Amino acid sequence: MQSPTLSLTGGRGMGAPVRGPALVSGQGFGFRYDLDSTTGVISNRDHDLYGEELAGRVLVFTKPKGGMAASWALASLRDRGIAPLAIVFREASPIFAQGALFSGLPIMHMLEGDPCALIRTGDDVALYPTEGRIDIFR
Amino acid sequence: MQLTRQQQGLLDGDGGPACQWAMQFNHDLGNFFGAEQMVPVASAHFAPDTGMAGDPGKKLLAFLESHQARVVVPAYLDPCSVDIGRAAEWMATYGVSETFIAADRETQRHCRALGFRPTYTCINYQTIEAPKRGDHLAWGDTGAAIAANAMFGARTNFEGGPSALASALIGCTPAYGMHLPGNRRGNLSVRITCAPEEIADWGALAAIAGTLSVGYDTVLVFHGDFAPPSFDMLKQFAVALASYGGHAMFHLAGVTPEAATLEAAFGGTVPGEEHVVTRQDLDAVFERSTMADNSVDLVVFAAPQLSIDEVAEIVERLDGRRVHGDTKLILAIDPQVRSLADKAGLTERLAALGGEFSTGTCFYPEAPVLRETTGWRNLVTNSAKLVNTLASAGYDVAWRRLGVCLDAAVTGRLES
Repeated sequence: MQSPTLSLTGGRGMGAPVRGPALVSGQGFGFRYDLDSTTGVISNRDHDLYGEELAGRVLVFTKPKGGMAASWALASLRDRGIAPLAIVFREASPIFAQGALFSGLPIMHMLEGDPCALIRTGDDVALYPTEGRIDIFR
Repeated sequence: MQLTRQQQGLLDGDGGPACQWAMQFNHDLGNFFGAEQMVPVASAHFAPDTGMAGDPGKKLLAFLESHQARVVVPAYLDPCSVDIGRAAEWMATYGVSETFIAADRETQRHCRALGFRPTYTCINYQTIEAPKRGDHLAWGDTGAAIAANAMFGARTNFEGGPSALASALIGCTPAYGMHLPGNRRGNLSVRITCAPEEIADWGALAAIAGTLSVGYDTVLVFHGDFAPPSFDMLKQFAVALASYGGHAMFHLAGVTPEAATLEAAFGGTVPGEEHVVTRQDLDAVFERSTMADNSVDLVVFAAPQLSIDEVAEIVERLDGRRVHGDTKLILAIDPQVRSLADKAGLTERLAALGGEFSTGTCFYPEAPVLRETTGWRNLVTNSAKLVNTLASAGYDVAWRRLGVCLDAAVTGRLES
């Protein structure tokens, strides 16, 4: 078995283990503010991930932004087959935790080490939410 | 998490499948945030958001109704996605689909069946009932939640759709975040030297300060030399801090209830370091906000919905001037304010000048759809939150003080 290039530990999480390609931002994220919810593509021109699709990727953002939308939107994206695999924040907010819980998508935060700096877009990452660990393969 | 016997019973299914879902949801959420117990809530405020919730939201509401679920605390509804009273017009003129309007109606019907009051408001603390200091709440709209925390000293987290719904059905919510006194104390100091005078100024101050430190754990303490804000200015300020900063709490020294003194706001020692917001900072916000060309398609007052006082001020300051033929003037209000506006003759006066109400909804949820069908592009507003929410919706937005907004509505041009 390939051993990870790097592991982030000490985090908190909910949901089942998942593995896939990372999409990493140096900014925050909010559904109403940054995303075209019909397509699942980031539509805020000021965002560093403008034009990127969320589907099938492990999202890594600094902090959550915005309001209520996130509590429903993850489930709706999942229902339409355009959801991310999981979402990682430096620190999550209640709304994103609620949205992840409702959708059944894994969420993690409070890791030792900055996920936005240590994970790179395109890295193959494995999340173990309830163990609070992320393995990075590159 | 420690549950009472009754709470454990609900988790085990003693209250039926609906309450079991609700308790399981709040239990899992509480565990994620390390909550030690549940706290009883005095009321709930729920945003069903038909557009964002889609099929999963619809299925959840239908599931709960099929099991005869009922709210156990006073429970209010956030604005609808469309102005249901003008559904035909929204379909014909704005291109909102019949399917979507039917879905929104069905959402509201489910909510009434569960016992939610059809308040369709994001300012329930202003038009329905003010929360009491120290009360725990389960409030959904982030603007209403930060207002409840900061302006009233009540205690609520941002409760998104599913969790506000869960809390309404079981009457309790996990004790984490803003329910805990330690998380409500100030941790960043902002000196106001910008002399905010009106709603747009307070919104701009919030936009500047909110982005100093984005995050739910940031609690700003504002102090300095400023004229006391009106309730509506404070309302805009709160809503904008939630929007730009993701904050759920702030203190305005000498004004808000948990900030009788600067020391009280910080819970002890006042930090030496402070940020300063000047008049130049404030003016720069408006100067930076420009449109590619100066023709104005829309002037919108929304986010949050307006009070009766704001409506009256707008109508008075139009002072008989008619809205330009190529420009729309939209005021978003809740049904409570609408009823007052009708009685006060304001609805009629606004219509005579060419303006219109959007009732029981706001502007931004359907803004992307509206833009595509109408070709609207250039929008002028005094609302900080509206500016922020329209960033992903394809509008060119100019953020201005009220007088400039009203001149733009009348001339159809943005002159400054």
